[in-house]
Amino acid sequence: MKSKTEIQELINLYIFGALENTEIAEAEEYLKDPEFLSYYQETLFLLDQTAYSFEDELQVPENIKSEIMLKIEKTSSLEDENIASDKNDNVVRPSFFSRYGFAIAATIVGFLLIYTFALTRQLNEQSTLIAKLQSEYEENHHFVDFVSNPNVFQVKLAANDQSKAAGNLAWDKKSNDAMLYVSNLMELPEKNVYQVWVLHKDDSVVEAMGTFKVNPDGTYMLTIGCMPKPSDTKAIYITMEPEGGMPEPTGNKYLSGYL
Amino acid sequence: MTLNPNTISDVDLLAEIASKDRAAFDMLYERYSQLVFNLGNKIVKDHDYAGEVLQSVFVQIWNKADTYNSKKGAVSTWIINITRNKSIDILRKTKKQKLNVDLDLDNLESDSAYEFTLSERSERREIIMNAMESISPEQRKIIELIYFEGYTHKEASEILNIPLGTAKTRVHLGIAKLRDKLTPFMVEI
Repeated sequence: MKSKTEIQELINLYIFGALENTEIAEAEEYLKDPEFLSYYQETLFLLDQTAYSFEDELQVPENIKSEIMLKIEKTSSLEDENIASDKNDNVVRPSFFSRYGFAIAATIVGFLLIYTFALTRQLNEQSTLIAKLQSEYEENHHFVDFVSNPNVFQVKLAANDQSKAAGNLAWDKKSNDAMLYVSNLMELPEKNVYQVWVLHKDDSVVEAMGTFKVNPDGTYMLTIGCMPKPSDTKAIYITMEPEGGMPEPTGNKYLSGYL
Repeated sequence: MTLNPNTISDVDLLAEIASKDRAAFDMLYERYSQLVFNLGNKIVKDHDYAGEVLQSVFVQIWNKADTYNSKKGAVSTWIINITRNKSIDILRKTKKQKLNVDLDLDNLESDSAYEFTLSERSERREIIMNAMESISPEQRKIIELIYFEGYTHKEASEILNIPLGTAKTRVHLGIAKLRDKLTPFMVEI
């Protein structure tokens, strides 16, 4: 039976990622106790606050705020345009009818507006489709280029259930960059993401390599930098986790691949 | 509504930002840009990238102010977490460093959250500076390397050329000392 101080020490090391698998499980067991969960949260809060100790090391460059404001302006003007266009659609036409009663002219104008609106909408849809196809083309082209590199080898990821989900990790053993392509993965609830993990050879470390959400068709391509060396790696797998990802895997495995 | 920069709380500022109030955004920027820039710089170790971190953090604050939940922590904690995540994203993209630490307060299932009782920012900063000075430089360094700069404890022990056991002891003693100094100023919100 550990003393309170020993448990707190364990939690401190848990926060700092300095525990092995069995110790992690032990720490997490203690965190179910409200007293130690509270200790854990207080400690995280205090550690965060220590960031203030280097708050004044460098002065913020003056131009940055104007760049932020420009980005915000862009977002806001797009929103304003949408609001204005909604208002025009709702207000202008009825007022024309009621004040002047030029029914025929109004009908013609109305038809023209609707026709123009339909054309614009169709054009927008086509532009979006073209942009999407271009982006897919560039992504695929990039993937093909990457895979053509002689230093790249591939790890197949298979579904852990009966689904048709599959994945392919192209891994550059020289630069330790990788590209992961997944398909047929189901769309997740809004507050969940898929998270990629690398299990080290001695089973002691599970490393988080990134999170993603799949496209509506169940595919996604994720670029991963800083992979460990293939010789140190035992397996790669993908789990479902809460949005933002987790420091350790907690959800079900959806895809796994072994080296 | 006229906002008084001397009296308005961070939480109220975020509520105003959620309704797209530029004045509130300016005030929050004044309060946190130094912290975000310097924390970003600490992690990415590059002024230009730290600038990118600062931009993306504040654009996110503008766009996502309505997602802040005061039950999950103080505004400063929320902003520090966004900063750490953005910095780590940039580091991963630029491959400057291998990162294993990815702490995320948002995933904690609890209604408890904390804040300092100190209302004056300068006073708070002074207390934190004193607490940091109360721990040894070796303890401070290892906390910064692991908690803010994203190194694993193993990597940190290699950088500092100390055994793993010593690294763990320093972490624990450093935290214990910080808690002694700072806990009296803390309150559950």
